[in-house]
Amino acid sequence: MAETQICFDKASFTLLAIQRAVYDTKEVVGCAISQSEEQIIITLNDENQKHEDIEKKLRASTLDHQLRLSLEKDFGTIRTALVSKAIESSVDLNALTNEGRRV
Amino acid sequence: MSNYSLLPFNFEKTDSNYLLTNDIGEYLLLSELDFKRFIEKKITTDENLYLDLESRFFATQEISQQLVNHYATRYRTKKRFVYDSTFLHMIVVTHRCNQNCLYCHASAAKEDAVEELDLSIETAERIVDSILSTPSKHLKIEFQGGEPLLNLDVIKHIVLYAKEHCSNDKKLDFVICSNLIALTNDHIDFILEHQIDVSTSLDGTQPLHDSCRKKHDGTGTYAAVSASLNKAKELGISNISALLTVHKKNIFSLQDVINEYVSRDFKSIFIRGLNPYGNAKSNYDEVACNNDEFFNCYIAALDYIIEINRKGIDLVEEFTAILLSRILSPFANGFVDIQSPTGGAICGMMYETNGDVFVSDEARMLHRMIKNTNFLLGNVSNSSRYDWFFTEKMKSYLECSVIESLPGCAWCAFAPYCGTDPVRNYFETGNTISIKTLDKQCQLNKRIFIHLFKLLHSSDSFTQRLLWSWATRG
Repeated sequence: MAETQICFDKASFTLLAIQRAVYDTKEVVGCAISQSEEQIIITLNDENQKHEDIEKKLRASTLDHQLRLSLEKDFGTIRTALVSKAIESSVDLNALTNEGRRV
Repeated sequence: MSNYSLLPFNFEKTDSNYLLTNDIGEYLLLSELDFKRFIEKKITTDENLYLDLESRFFATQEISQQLVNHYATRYRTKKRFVYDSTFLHMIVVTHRCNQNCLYCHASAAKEDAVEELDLSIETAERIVDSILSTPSKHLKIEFQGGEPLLNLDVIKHIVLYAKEHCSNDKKLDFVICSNLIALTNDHIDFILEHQIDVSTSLDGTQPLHDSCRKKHDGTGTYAAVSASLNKAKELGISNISALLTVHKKNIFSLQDVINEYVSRDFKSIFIRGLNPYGNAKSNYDEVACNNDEFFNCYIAALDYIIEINRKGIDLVEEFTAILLSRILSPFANGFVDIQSPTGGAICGMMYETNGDVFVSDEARMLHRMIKNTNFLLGNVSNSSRYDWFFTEKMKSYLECSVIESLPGCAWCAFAPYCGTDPVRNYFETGNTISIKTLDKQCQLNKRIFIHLFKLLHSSDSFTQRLLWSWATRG
């Protein structure tokens, strides 16, 4: 089977979303990610695989990851604030250990 | 257009629905249309759906200090185990064993092997001193092996020494993990006198059990275990639990295994796969099952257990119960194998016969197999808990288990209920960090989580009530 190229428009998709999708898709054995001025291109280069199925999964996963990234932009700051508040009493490990070496 | 803010969440598309979860473990299942309306902020705040979203901390009309405080408290409650100190202390009292199981992960030695394989009284006392220095108010000492009962004198000494030196404000429990095949009246008297819990192994009916759990002469051990279980019960030991190991030889007969547990009046069963260490590695082809086999048989067994309960017989599947309690209760449940950060060292520690201290049982198995010292923290003879914890090794071990910051886990909808084991990752992939495409445990857990969410939303009210009862049992 020849190489397959899957193209994503840079106006809609970011490199990070595509990288995450590739990472998540366990069927991807070998691939390369390259960029042109307008596109991000995944080249599937494992000859022993059925590229159609992988392409379908990668496209669906990329859409989800792009959505996750925009949601993270929306609530990323509040997530940091919430978790920081939750662990604020334990962030100073030195203070904790000086107080009776609690381990 | 509604006026609300989104609070942080992860999502997973399952069939035609979207599963939303957040860091405090709340979840909600939305249809595709509702999910779209939610993220586009098109739900009106007087809709029931909005009230659901707000009450589960997926949306808010105001990010107030009260909200932040409440959320932070819930987060800390979910991670309570991090604030406590090490609770479970596992001591290997001997490497000798009277069995030679096909999947033994502990790489046990023969019963008549040299005495250097036993824990000495002197080292035992140092281990106990270290355990008692743990700030935790509840300590559990678990005797492991080999077969621990082959070194009963040291067990007796540890129990008496620990009781004598333990401060009054601590609760101290003991567990012996024994195959029970050499159980004597002397053992039983001691177990009863000190109210020691017993955990044994039972892999099903005689042919299923004997297929892997054998003596050194190759004969099976079911008859001996069965006789000991009956004898222990007759003489008054009631706190015996049994652990099942699922392997290639019993995986397709799990109904028979479950029936065996029911017939012996066990109230729970843990459908647990093989640990890939020791003999399980060398006999891999003979004993190991793949993920598909395990998942399909696990689901079928769970269905069978639900049907048994429907007939009025109480039987809990422990792994399901642990995961459900993560999903349905606001608390941590102390299951150290799947936690973030890992439960190794901070919840449980392992002490070897020579006094070496490891982050977990798996770490000592790895060390015994290939002498790997990545997870060896020190030795009770020349270092203390302080030295073990405040090291780069420990920091790195814990860091790579914080799944909230790991690729793949960070955006996984099941992350609030899950965890990873750096020792197993290292053993299976050469990397302490879980690489999703290679992490079979992750792939299996994900499928199980998806199935459990389906069950929780099934139309069968009995199943729903049963699962809730498992999740919230004491």
